[in-house]
Amino acid sequence: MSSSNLKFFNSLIMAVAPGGDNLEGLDFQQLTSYLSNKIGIPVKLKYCKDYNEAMTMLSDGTAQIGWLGAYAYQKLESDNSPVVEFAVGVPKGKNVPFYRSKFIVRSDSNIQILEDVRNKTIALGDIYSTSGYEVPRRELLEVGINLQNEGSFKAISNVANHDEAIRSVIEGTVDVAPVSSINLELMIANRTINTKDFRIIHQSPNIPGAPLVYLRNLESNLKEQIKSLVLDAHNHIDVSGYGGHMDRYVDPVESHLEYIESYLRPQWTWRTIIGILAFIVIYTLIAIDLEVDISQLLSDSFLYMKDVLGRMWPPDFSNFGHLMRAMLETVEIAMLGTLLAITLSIPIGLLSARNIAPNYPIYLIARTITVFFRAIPEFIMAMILVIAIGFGAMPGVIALGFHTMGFLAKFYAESIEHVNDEPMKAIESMGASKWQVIAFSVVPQVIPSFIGNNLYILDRNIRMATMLGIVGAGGIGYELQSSFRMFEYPRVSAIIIVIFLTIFVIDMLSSYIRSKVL
Amino acid sequence: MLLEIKGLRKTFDDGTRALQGVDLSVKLGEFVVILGSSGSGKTTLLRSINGLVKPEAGEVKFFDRVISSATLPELRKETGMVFQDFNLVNNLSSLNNVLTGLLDSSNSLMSMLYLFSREQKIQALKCLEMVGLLDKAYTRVDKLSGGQKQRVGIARAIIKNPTLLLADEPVASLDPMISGSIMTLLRNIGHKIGLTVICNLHQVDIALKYSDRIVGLSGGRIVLDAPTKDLDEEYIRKIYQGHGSGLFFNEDDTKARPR
Repeated sequence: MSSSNLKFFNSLIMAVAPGGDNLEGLDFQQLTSYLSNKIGIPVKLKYCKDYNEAMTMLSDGTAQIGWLGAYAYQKLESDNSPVVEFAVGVPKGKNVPFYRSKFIVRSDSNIQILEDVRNKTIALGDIYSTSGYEVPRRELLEVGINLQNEGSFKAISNVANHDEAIRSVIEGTVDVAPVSSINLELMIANRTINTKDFRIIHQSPNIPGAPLVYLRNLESNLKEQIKSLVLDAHNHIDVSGYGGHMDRYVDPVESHLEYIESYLRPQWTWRTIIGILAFIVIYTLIAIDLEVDISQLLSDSFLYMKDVLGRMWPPDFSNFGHLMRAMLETVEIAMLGTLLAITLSIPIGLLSARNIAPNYPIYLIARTITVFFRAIPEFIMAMILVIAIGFGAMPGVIALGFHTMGFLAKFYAESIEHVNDEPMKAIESMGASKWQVIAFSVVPQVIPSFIGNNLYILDRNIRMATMLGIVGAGGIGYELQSSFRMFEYPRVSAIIIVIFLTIFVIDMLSSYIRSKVL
Repeated sequence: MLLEIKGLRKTFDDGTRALQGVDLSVKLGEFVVILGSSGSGKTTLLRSINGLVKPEAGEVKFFDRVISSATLPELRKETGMVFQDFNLVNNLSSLNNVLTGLLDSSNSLMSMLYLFSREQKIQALKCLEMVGLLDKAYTRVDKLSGGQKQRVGIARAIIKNPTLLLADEPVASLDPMISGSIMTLLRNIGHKIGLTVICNLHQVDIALKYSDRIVGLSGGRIVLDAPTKDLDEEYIRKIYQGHGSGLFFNEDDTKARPR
């Protein structure tokens, strides 16, 4: 490589890779004459026929400054580059030095999306062109089209630059072309083309603008001088470059950081924050409306509570046998009620699952049934039933059965709606009937949640059945009620302990079953 | 020498003898492919490097320090890993997935609230840019294609600036075309940030196209260890004859081509 000291240069050469076919699209004239004036030696422009020629001139030191297009620069960088970037142009009217690769088709084309370009004729730029080749290559790869495989297209037309590619599309010689947004916007601004003539079917993410580069081993004073002159040039002259007029040139490292920073977003979006604030406000209002007063709870109520609890101690287990009999009755009511709920909710659950229900009206009816029975508390249902069919276990069983049917059907429907439907499709494609599909793909998938939900409902029904006795629907609740009425607090505490122990045992039992079955 | 493995042995509880005395050294900046069919022990080898598998005999030296439970955290700071099935957290954005690579150096309370420093986020965005996914930074990864997911996986692996990247069959779940672009990306990133890459593969043609060196594994033993430029398909085929193969030789199996 030639010596890098300014003394040995009587002129500097700037190698420019092709961009568009008119010099207005790639104009460094003013910039180089400005540099010539300020540095004191001629700075000459050399327009190269392709990216390769420009790269070669820089690699062998014939040129000292260059514009290579972004991709060609990356290419040099990866192979221990002889050049470094020092400035990148910000186009007029934009704040950032970026552009995009846009896939354009004629407005009357039947190509709608990127996938459609398969087996069409495409115009492609030089393989070192960023927006005419490299970025389109990646974009096409994402939709499964390999640019390097000639079989992907009917024909590939190699064009010298973006302007030729744009013309080819509009004249109809090719179906589609990926082109630089800079050239496209420039041709629209020049009225060379009309926006009605073409459609954009796809555009790439932002591509960092192509930087100006100089040789890495140029004397550092000279490098510093060139860089500061270029970055300051917009204050003295109209700067231009790839894409015509430039607003200014900026330091590529700084502008890259700004570019990255433009993607920064708060981890918590304003929506989340508003949600949290709304939650706090709503609950504060509820607390105010209900006159929740924690201090009161801690003072007066605490004393009464102490008094009541004191009277309950020690528990009176004198009629233990009778209590156990009543407890057993409660458990039996719960078990029968749960069985009734399961039996009823299997068909209702299937019909209220959107993906299984035969049609919308049936789905709606099934849903309404489940909501209806969930809406009526079993307490109320049991009261009505006691009036209708008299005291005893039956009203409790029916009330529990119908009320929890509403829950179970909802749970079943939800787990059925969340089954993976791919196995369903597979079994369907083998010619299975609808019910066979349900039996072989839905049922096996929902069995674990089916068992889990049933055990939960059984657990819940035992707790609820203890209360049903209060309205006369049998079981230990009745005992609890009568002991309360007679102010036999030691008996009340004994009953509570019995209920607690029963539920504790049932809970252990159901988690044992769960661990074995699920 | 970045990595020196001596006499590594591993027999699993079910009696599978995954490694039967493996010696291997890897230089800084090398792109090494460990080639072998499934069951050849290559996954076990890779996992014993970063301590996911405990070998029963032999030692692994990283920068001349023997890896033990005491030095393992240090080694893990220096290694990134890329997985066959990507192993991303599906409900998180690409950016948050990449940021998980920095959890070991984050304030644990802040990271529990998904809060990361500005520097960490910029670093993550730069990694996403490096793999060409800056535009998808805030997209949930389950909305991405397979190739894009693996790119996020690579970004996550390189965010803490590791010295060594372990890639376990990084392209086995991808179609041949995308495989090529992922391998190119791994290679380019390796060159760009001076990363040493150890990559498990079972496709001979991909190994030949992208590696500096190929280490062939069969039945838990090294049967081949040579610079890629000295190798060709014929030779590898000959080596693997009688080893029962399971390797993919045919170009038709993997149409990936380098750029």
